[in-house]
Amino acid sequence: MQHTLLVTGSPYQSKACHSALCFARAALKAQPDSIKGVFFYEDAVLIGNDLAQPPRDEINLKQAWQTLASEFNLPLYLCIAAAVRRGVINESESKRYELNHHSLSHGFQLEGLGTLVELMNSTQKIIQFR
Amino acid sequence: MTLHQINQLSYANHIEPLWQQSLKQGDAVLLIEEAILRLTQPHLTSMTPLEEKHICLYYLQRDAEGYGVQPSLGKALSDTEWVELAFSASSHISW
Repeated sequence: MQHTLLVTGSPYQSKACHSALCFARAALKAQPDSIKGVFFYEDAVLIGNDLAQPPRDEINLKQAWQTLASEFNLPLYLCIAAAVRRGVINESESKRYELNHHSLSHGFQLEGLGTLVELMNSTQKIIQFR
Repeated sequence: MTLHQINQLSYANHIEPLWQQSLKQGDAVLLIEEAILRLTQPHLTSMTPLEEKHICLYYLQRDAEGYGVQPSLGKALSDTEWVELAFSASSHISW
């Protein structure tokens, strides 16, 4: 049975992204297909900002998520509306807004709420981290 | 069994009684992140309703160590046990 993780807490103001990472890591090690996808919403989308650089003596949460996603082929979705308004923009959105830069980290993808609904409808349950 | 995941030392005035009153017999409560500190202030997590409703109380061992807390209440869970508990629950509520 597969599950969906929904992360809404900011990587800077809460421990949601870290708790979700620990949960996902343990779940995937036990059952590699137990999580169908992770959807980051609200301030949690800041995890996908490629320009953010944590101090060297702190955990690099973005990198840890990227490593986990790569190891287990885990989709990491960022809500596109929440991300764009916070300056987390992929190449196509950058062109659409006629910007010179994009800031989405590799391993993350911008998706609409329809993707979250599809995850909710196709997995046993959703586990949220606020 | 519904697993109630609590991650704050205290919630807003309207949320705190809501989650406690929503507990049903056989549910489980899991304290994570700073909610671990509730175990150092038992008045914030009234144990009487939990015992009366046969509700199991869990906390994350990793978070307890992070906050330097050695709880005398509840059962410590590793991350692996946390996953097993969450996946075995019929529903999951993150308050």
